[in-house]
Amino acid sequence: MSAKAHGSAPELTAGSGAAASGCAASREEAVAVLYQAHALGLVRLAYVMLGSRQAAEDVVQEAFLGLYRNWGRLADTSRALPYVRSSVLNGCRSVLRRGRAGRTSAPPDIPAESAEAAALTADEHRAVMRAIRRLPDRQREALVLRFYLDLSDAQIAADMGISAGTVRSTIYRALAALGQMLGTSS
Amino acid sequence: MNTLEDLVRSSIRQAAAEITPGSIPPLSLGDAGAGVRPAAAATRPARARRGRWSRVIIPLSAAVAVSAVITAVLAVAATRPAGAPAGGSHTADSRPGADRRADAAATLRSQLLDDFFPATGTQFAIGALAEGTIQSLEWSAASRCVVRQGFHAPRPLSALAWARGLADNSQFPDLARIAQTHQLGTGASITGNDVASGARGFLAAWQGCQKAADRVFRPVQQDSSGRLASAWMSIVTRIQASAQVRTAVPGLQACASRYGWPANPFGYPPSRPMRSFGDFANWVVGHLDGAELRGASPAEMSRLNRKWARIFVTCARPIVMLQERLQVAARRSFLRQHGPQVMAMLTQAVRIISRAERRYGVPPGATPG
Repeated sequence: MSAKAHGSAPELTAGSGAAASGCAASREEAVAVLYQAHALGLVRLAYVMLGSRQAAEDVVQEAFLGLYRNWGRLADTSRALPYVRSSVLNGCRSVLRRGRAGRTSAPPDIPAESAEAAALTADEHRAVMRAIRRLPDRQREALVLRFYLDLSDAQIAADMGISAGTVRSTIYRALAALGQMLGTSS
Repeated sequence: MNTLEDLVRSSIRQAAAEITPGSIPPLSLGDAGAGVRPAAAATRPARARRGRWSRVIIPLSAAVAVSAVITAVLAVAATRPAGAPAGGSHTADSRPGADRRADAAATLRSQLLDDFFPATGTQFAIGALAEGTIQSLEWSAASRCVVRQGFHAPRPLSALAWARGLADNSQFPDLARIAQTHQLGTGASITGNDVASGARGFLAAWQGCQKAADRVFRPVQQDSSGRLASAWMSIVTRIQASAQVRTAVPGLQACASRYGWPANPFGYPPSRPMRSFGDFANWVVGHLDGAELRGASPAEMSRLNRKWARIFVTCARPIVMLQERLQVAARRSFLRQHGPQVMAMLTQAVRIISRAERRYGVPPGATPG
């Protein structure tokens, strides 16, 4: 499947959106326009991280509220989108750290004895997502940033606050674990 | 690109597409606070659950277990082929302080062993210290780099600060720590926000500096090291999904039932029957989230933390002990099988990190000593 088939990721990695940088726009207008332009992509990002639509929407709402409150403190309002994306990721981490969403609302785990079969059925994408949701939080986050947002090692490292080397080893471990769960090899 | 990566990419994008355009609720700003929907309050960091003990318990547990780890390292060393190097250059170092450096290198080596090949929650916590050391040194190196470019240095972050964010209760729960601290939380991870300075151009400079700093440590975590660590994690995953471990899940559920399973105050019903240790861990933590969501006082949160930490340890102990027993045995076998490669990998890592410590050990802005 083409990476663009469901392409919602690119708008989250492009430069921050001219709408947010207009000098004449009020804070409310700027945040509202940014929300209108990017909420879908950000909710999708949070959703693949958390596995819960409600939690994803809450995290994004909270992130935009934070942006709204801190608008005056942004040194460079053209960085508003990276700021809010970082807030969404932090919100997801907070939720995941406490095990609140995702894993409990995700589909049931893949029974080990049927893992190979699951990778071969028509529902293989859902099987892959189930397996992804069984990964440790850090591994899942690294995979989402790499394979959904297509971020580089350095960008993922900056977002996650880890080294690029650790990014690579984390993704390596995650793919190995997925391969194990799905009965394929990376 | 290989097949698994393609599958992951397309699966994530397909899952994301479940959120359709037009289905997003409108932004509710209210008066910058009043407009927050009640459920959104749950996304606030759980500061009430972070006690001061979470800041000191990892080194305590690490100290207790270090001797056992060193034994394991020596066991690995015993499998080294005759004539192979015995360790880092410190073995021939007769300068003043050589003993101290050798001790530090031995400790670092044992931490690195657990970083790459954890079999227990305690080992995972010890390994996090090595990871924290690397991150802290990278941070320090990047800080010096941005200072040279005219920016202020970000606040210094210690190895322990990094290590705190790395605990993994779902895969390597550290029951000893939880029992001792009565805390399920481990403290916040360090994120990109920690480098925010507000200065224009800072972030780009920081990322460039971090990339340069990363090159120093890249050999520690790539290629053969990554492959060995990945092979080990596959073994752990297989053990935790094994039929032998799954036989312990009904017992875990029975224990949880004594404390109300599957009632969940947070509202997400757990899967029934319990399928994994992760289900149990999420259910326990859900009680604390539920209380926090309802606005429980710090005193009440403290009481609940003690209660649920005790339940967590009581119910989890049998299955965690089983997992750890199997993982410890598997690790022994794994290290025996890959001893020479592991020793070479540890020796190289210690050499790189020790060199970086001498160069970057005191970050700008920190008080030496």
